[in-house]
Order: sequence, then C-alpha cells, then structure tokens
Amino acid sequence: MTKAVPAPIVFVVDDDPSVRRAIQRLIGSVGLRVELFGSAQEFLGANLSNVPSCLVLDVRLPGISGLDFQRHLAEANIKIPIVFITAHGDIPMTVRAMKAGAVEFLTKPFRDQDLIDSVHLALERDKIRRQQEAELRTLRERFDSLTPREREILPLVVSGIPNKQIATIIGTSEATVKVHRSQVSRKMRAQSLAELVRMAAKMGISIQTP
Amino acid sequence: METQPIETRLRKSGIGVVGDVSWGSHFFLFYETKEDLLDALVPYFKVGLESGELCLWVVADPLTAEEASNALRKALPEFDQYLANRSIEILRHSEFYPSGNNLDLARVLQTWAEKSNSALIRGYAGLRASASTGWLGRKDWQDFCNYEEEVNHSIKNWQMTILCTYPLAGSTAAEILDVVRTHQFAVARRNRVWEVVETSELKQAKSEIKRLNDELERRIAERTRQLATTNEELRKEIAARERAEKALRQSEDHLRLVIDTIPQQIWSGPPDGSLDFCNEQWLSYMGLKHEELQGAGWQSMLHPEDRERVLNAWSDSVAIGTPYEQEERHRRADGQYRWFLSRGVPLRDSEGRVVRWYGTNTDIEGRNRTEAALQEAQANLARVTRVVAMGELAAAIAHEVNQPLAAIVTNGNFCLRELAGVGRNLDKLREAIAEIVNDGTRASAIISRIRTLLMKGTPNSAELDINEAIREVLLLLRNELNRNRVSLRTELAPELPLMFGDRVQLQQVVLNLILNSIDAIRSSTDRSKKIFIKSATHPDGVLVQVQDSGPGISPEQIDRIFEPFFTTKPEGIGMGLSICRSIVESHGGHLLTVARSNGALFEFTLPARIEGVS
Repeated sequence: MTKAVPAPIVFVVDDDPSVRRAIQRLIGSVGLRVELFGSAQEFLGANLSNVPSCLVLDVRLPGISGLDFQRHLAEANIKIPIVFITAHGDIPMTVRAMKAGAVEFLTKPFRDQDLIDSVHLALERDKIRRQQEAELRTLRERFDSLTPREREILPLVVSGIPNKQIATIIGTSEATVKVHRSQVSRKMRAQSLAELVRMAAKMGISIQTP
Repeated sequence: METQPIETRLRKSGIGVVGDVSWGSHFFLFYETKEDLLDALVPYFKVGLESGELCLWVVADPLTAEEASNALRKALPEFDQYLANRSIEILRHSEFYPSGNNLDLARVLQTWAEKSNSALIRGYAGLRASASTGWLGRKDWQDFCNYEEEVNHSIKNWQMTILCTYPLAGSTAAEILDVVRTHQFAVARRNRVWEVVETSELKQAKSEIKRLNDELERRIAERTRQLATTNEELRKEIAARERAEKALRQSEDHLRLVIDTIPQQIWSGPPDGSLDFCNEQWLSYMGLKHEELQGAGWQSMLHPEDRERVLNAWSDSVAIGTPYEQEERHRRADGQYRWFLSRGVPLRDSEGRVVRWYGTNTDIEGRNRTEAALQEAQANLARVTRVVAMGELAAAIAHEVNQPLAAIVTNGNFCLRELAGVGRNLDKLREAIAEIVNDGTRASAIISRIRTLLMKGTPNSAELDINEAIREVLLLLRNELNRNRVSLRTELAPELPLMFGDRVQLQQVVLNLILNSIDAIRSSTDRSKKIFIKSATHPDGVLVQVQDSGPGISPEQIDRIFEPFFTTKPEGIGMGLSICRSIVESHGGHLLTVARSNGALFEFTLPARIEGVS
C-alpha cells in the first residue's frame, strides 16, 4: 500500500438521467471521477474498484428506495459513505438517513458547493477508513508471523509486566523472555515499547494486570 | 196468570160437615123442619158476613124473614150494623122471585149475575146467597129445574156461592133426582147428623183433581230432581269458572309484571288519540302518576321544539289510522330531555275500525349520540382525506418538478464554474446549456401533464341527479356546518335535467366549494354566517351556485384564484379550485366566481345529458 494514492471515484445513483448527467458534470468539474447508475440494482451489479469512493444516492428510486438500500449495504458490510439527495424530503426521512451513517442529506435543487463539499467529506472519510483498515491488516499479518510463545508474551509485555515476572507466569527463565521480547519487537517492527503498546491497542489486545 | 192466593178463593161455608167451599159452589140442603134450616143457614151467613161477603137470604115457608133476622141477630151481635149497611138482605121469596103467572127465571139468572158483580164493585169479597124453594109449585117444577141447571152451569163465572134449600117432605123421588142432578153436592140431615152427599160428577171431578194433584206432585218431584242435578252441574261449572278466573288473574298478573318490567315504555289508549294506559317504566321515567298522564297529560313531557311536530304527526295517525313513528324528546323526572323513538299501531275490529292504539317508546339517546359522533367522524374524514390527498398530490408534484429543476440548477452551476475557470470547455458548456433548456421544457411539460391528468376523462361516468348529489354532500357536512354555526339555505330546483358524469368527482367540487365557504366565514364574528346553495336550469343544462357571507374575494385575487398553488389560506396548497375547475371542465362545464359586493359566489354549469351522447 505504499503505491501512489489512486484516484477516488464518486458513484451517482439517480433514476433521472438528466440529474445524473448534471451531477457528473458538476463533480467532474472539480476533477473527480464519476460513475453513473440508474438504480440500486445497477450499482450492485457493477464491478467496483478498490479505491476511495462515495455514493450520491437519490432517496426516491425505482424498485428499492434509497433509505432501504442504505440499510441493505450496511447489512452486507459495504461501508461506503453516502450523500443523499431528494426531490421532496421530510424531517423523519432525514433523521433516519443520518442516524444510519449518511454523510449529508441534500434537497433538490441543492447548492453546487453543498454537493461538492459533501462529496469531498465523504471521500475523506472513506480514505481514512481505508488507511485504518490497511494498517490493521498489516499489523495482523505481522502478528500472524509470531510464534505461539511470542504471541503469549506480547500481551504481558504491553501490559508493562517486568521480564522476571513474565518468566514466572509462563514458567521459563528471564533470559528466554528477553530473547522472545526482542523477537516480538523486530517482527512487529516496533521502534519502542510505546509503539508496540499502540499496535496492540489497534489490534484490540487488552492490557493484562499481573 | 191468576195470582190470587188460593186461601181467598176458598170460603168457609160455616157448615161443619161442608167445610170450605170455593167460589162458584152451587149446593143444596134438604130440610125437614124450620130448625134444620136455621141450624145450617145461620152459621152459613154468620161466616159470610164476618168474611166480608155480601149476603142475600131469600126465605120462604116455613121460615119468615123476621125469624131469620132474629136467629142471625142472636148469633151475630153486629147483625144490625150489617143490616144497616146493606151487607145482608133478607128477602121473602115473593120479593125476589117474580110472582104471579109469569115466572121469569131468565131475569133471576140476570139478577144473580148483577148481584155478584155489584158485590165486587162495592168492595165485598163476593156474594153469598141462599134461596128457599118452599114456595115452588108443581107446575113450575120443570122450569125451575132448567133454571137450576142453568145456575149450576153459569155459577162458575160468578164470584158467589148459592145454597138452595128444598123441603124433603113431599118431594117425589123423581124430584129429588132432579135436584141432585142440578147441583154440585147436597147437605142432608139424617138421624140429626148433617151429611154431605156428593154427586158422581163431583166425585169424578175430585178424583180428577187428585189425579192431577198426584201428577203435579210427581212432576214437581221430577222437576226438583232435575233442578238438583242442574244445580249440581251449575255448582261444578261455577267452581270451574272460578278456577279459570283465578288462572286468568294469575296470567294477567304475570302479563302485568312483564309489561311493567321490560325495559321499554309501553302505552295504549282509545281510538280518539288520548292515553289511558302506560306502564311502570314510562311512569318512573317521567316521575308522574298514572292520572297525570291520562288523556292529553302526556303531552306536557314533550320537548317544546318537538311538540308541534309530534302532535301533528300523532293527530294525523289518529285521523287516518296509520301507524305512528316519530323521534322525539321526552322530559325525564330530573328535567333532562332524552331522545325516544315512539311507535304506535292501531288495533282494528273485523270491520276495520280502530278499536285501540298500542305503542312503545324506545330510548335512542345513545344511538343518536353515536350517530352524531359517526357523522362528525365522517366529516372529519372527508376533510382529512382532502388534506391527505392534497399532501400526496403536492409531494408527487414537488418530486416531479424538482427533478428537472435540480438538473437545471446543477447544470447552471456547472456553467458558472466553467465560465469562472481558466480553461473553458465550450463543448461541455454548450452541452450543459442544452440540457438546461431541455429540463426547463420538461418541467413545464410535467405541470401541464398534471393538469391533463386531472382533466382526463371520467371513468365512472353515469347518469346522475345533481340535486341528489348535493344533498348527499350536505348530509356529510351537516355536523361541520353545525359546529361552525353556519346557517344553510338551499334552493334546489325540482325536475332538473339529468346529468352524465362522475358523481364522486362532482361531489368533490361541491364539497370543496362549501368547505371553502366554511373556511371563509369561519373567522368572521361580526357577520352572520350563511351559506346559500342553489340549483337551477340553465341554457347549457344545469347551474349550481354556492354563495357565502364571508369576506369575499378581492379584485386582485379574483384573477388568480383558479391558478394552481394560489392560496389565501395559511395551511392551503392552492390546488382546490384549480382541481375543481379541471373537473367541471372535463364534464364540459364551466366553473367561475361572480364578483359581488359582499361574500363570495362560485357557480358552475354542467351540460344536460343529450340522448345518445355520453
């Protein structure tokens, strides 16, 4: 994941082709890639690239509604940020969408800057989410390379337990603990104990109390 | 029938052996000496005088009138009084019977008849007489016998008794036989003892009487037995009747209990329409006594507003004999009025005349309240439906119109951005502007499509009576009008031509116009709240007008009032009149408002149905 940042994509789902094209033009004018879909089904059937992206979704769609589609995506663990647009919205509809994690809820005809800002916000969120997911994935890979004994002492080390005590807990010599400990730091590529503690926290390893 | 008691018919003869004799007795005595005569006749006349009879004693040798008087005076102290008031006459035979050669016995008979008659007239019980034949010569014997026979025959018609005296000495056997033949019975002195000698005729008569008496007794016994049987039967019948009456009373008691207990007010009365019965339920409802309700008393519990209507309807029913049915308010004991359904039916005899009225009153207060609540709910529903329909329509319109608008605004913004930027892509600008034009056209097309949609043909077209449609709407709005204290006046022309159209849609128009009127006059407090609805024939077909006393329509508004989305109401969306106009026009008619100095007037015309064209 150290390659150049890929160009983000904005997916637009609206049943009105005229509206779709106008949005494409507007968002395209700020240098973003836009892909258009006429319905939720069409969107699901597309081969989505693994790049930062967001969804501009019309509430009133043929077939499944925008709000139901939002829930459907969440259930399928597709965590794409959504910007809702609607020709006729009401407060309960807005509240429901926002509670379910929507980035913004815009009423047509919307201000151009509002849409552009919302799209940027959504893409930023997706980018951060993707970075976090990538980082976690790396840590998991490193963690997986540890031996069972090293995996055993990692939680104890990040809990600040002295080597001598760790030796007692796992029933070995203090010298052996020292060797395992340096191996863990090396394999996890941690420059300091503090960094190792942060890594463990990200992976959800809990602090142990002696 | 002769009612005279038998005692007074029988007279004491005074002669021991004879005993009692009846009026009409004609008997004789054979004597030998003067003493014989006195011995029989003195008691005979004594008893007669004492019994209030008129007495006539005709004497002859050997007895003189003087001797007869003396003998009677001796036996009867008051004799001289009797003599003085002519209760008794003692005559010599020569004074009574006509003497000489011409013995006119017919006249004698006449005399008896007159005497007995005058005795009754003079107040005597009858005539008691005795006549001696001692003077009778041989030459007259036969005539006398005929006379005696005539007396014997006639005496039963007279109220008198006659004792004839015949000298036994010197009478031939033939003469004796004649005497016996011409009298009913005889008294004779034999060996100093008086004896009664009966004639065979008398014996026969007596035995006949006895036979008749026996027969009578037998019959009486028989009759008595029959009567006893009948009495027994009667007694049984009376007992049975008493049992039946008791059962009937119990049944009546039961029925009475039922009538008084069932939760229903029951009444009845004579054909004249007054009231003479009502059950306990009604009495206790009103807290009145039976007497207070009688006749026309019940009318006092009618609600003053119902009184005239109820009494008119009741007198109509009574006059014609048709069943009565009215909803009316009755005052309860506590003064509160409740609604009742009162019903009455006439009971008729075989000739169809009304004999009695029977009726019930049913409490429908609860039902009426429910009905009122239902009507209010319906009216509310109508309003809500209208609002919801409008809301949905508005949402649909907003969505449809906002789509092209969103595209236009977005494209416009894109163009502005492009124009503000450095490297202008004219192709893209042209493309965007072309889309703006397209979407603008599309938005306009959507609006006209909505209008067309509303104006589209009437799928539920049918023949209809516009007055009926109006009345249904008014029924629906009754409570709405009441609640807003609107007084409604209608003038629906009879015999309007039939329309062809969608009843529901046209009712929607009327409903909308009236609701608009209600909304308009709702706020006004100073104005009287009136709505006037009129239907009439019109050159095009039918004209319907809805007129109100609201603030009216200002000249600025009047041109815009039918435009979609134009409204003067805070909560309105301004589609009502626009839709109404579309509906009316789709039926080939016109909806317009007429300028007025006060209030608003909306009217629409609809073409009448032309035969063969729909």
